[in-house]
Amino acid sequence: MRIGKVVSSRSHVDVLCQIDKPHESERPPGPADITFGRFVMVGESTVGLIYDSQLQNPDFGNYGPRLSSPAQVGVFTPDYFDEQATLVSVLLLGGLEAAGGRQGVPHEVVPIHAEVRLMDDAEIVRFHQDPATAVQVRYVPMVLSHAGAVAAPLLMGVLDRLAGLFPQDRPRIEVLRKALLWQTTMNAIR
Amino acid sequence: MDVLIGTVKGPGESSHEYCFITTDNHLSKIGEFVYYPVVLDGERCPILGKITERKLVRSLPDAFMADPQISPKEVAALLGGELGEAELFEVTVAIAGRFDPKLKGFLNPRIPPDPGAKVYVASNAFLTQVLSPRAQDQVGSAHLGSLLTRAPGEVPIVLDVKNLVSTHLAILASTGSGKSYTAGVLVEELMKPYNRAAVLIVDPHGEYGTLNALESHPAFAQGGYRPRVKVIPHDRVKIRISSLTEADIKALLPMMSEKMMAFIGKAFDRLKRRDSHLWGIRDLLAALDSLRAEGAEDDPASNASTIEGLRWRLEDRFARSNIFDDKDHIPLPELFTPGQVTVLQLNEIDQVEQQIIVATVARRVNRARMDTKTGKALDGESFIPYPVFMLLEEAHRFAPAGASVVSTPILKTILAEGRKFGVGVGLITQRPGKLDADVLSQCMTQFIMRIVNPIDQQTIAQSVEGAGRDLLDELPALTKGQVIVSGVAVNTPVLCQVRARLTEHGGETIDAPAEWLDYFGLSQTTAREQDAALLASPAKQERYKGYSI
Repeated sequence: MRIGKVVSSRSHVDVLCQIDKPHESERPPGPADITFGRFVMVGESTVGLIYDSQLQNPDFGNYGPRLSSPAQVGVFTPDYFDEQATLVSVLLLGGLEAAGGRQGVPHEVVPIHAEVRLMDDAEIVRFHQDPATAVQVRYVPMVLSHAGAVAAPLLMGVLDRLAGLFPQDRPRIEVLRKALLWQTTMNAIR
Repeated sequence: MDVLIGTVKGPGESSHEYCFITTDNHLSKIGEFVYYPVVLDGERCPILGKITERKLVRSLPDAFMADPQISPKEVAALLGGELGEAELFEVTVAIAGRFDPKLKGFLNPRIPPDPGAKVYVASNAFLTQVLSPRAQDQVGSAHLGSLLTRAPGEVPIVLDVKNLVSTHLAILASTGSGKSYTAGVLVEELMKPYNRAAVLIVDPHGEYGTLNALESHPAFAQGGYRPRVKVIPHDRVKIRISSLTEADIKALLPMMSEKMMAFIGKAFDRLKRRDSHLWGIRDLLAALDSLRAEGAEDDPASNASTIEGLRWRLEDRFARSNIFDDKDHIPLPELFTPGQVTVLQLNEIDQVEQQIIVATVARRVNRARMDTKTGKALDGESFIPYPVFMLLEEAHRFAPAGASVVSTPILKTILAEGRKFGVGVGLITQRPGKLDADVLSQCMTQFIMRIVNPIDQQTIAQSVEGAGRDLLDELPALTKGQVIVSGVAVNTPVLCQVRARLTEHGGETIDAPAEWLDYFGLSQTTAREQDAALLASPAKQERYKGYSI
């Protein structure tokens, strides 16, 4: 399911996605679709993870009188709606090709306006499936270094999800989850 | 086949050390032999060294080890399969050098390894060739066991008997760590057909009696040769009084005053001036009596109490001892004969008497060997035309630290000069700290087993030059039967697992619970009941037809 398009980037692995507005898509995404920690497909084959969001609203702070009431704005100044936007930051974690998932820095540069869509469980499983070790999360160091203050909760959410998708690997995922939780929480307190 | 184990990182802390990095946890054992190759005179030479220290320089996070059910490597594999081999070890190696077959020793060429050079684990065949100075079952060899870091039997440790017995040895180990067992193995090797040594064991605990089995064991028979084992129990040990020295007598007599000491000295001088070397206690008493007027011509009675005191002490001491005799003693050829191990059992003998027995035997054999070598003795009891070897159990009794007992001087003499005359000594002790440091430092081959006491460890570190400090760090970690061998009987100090004895070991720890249970066994209970039973009164005489029955 499409949720938006790439509108900007902060680095090769960190792109901004603007969420589709109601009039831009037949099935515009709802609040439940654009949640923190969702896996998304960017463009044809690049896999990303939503780790941050921003709300763009030029009207914020403008407390002067308006000629139109909020209900009339859509009628008299429809462009005004376009100036409001929801942006999400997507951390690019690798690629998903026919042969399987490849975790690491993506080779391709994501084009502007590349489509961003939600990944289903099957795609998430394929991306994390490693023929040798069943499940892989090689992007953990990259998430820790790029996602800043929200890295720990982001990874907790990802690992919880993977524990559900890979029940046979739940015990070792749990050890890693606890190790990260301990490290991020205790280091923050110290 | 030499196994590539790691890569040289650089020099170690001291000039004869280097460090290498490896991921192999199993081959990089402490005490393991590794080498780096260098080219010398156009030839590839392995520079052998021994692993002395290991450090984990990279490892998985501790948190990955939180769940014992889950391997930390499995957790690491989540982050990438190749992270499973996470551990990196920095291993320190003490360089022994290049083996020189002509010199039969290691020479350090002082060529440090280049950083990045490859390090190999030495093969069994190579180590067999270079660690032991002798081949197994060769004349003059003693197969002690095998290299501890390799599988049993893969690298035999074979000692050089010539150096072993002529430059003396010491077996140092705490109780229960197998020192008597190791000594037993050495004696077995000395009695093998390719050695046929003349060995005397001074056995204060009576635990070498089981060596009897040597005589009938097929491993020791060859052609007409069969070793003999002569066990001399404590009640058969005899010391001829004339072989005692003034110091021996003084040590035997209790509570001696200065005056008494002086009189004994004078009496000895008089005895020595006689033609005969054979004298008895009566001769000594007579010599004492002749001193009654010595220096007290005006008042002969003034010496009387001292002389009487001495007489009483001498008569008391020698009358109640079964050991000292005017004429009898055990002839040296009976104690020392090639192909014979003599076990002198000194259990149930007072410690001072044990010291005197050892001192007397050592003095006699040392004198006999000197006389034989210098041509003074051509036959008779003093003619011992072969080298001899004495093994002293509980050696700290015979040369204690911080005290001089009667046996200390002769042991020091033999340890210093015995090599020239073919008198070898082996010292066995469980308290190296209580053994005279000079005596210990004269033993050129050391067998060091598990020792926990820090004072004993310190003594070994100070007195035993051959064993590296690194190996001495291993002392508390050694287990039963594991021994560090260093000195002239091996090419380089080695950690060795002592081989199984062919004869039964006699020094086993007593199984107290089993013996306590035996106490309540049927036979012992019945015997006690019988012993404790009241004696039945004899039946009264009856008369039958006038006859008493």
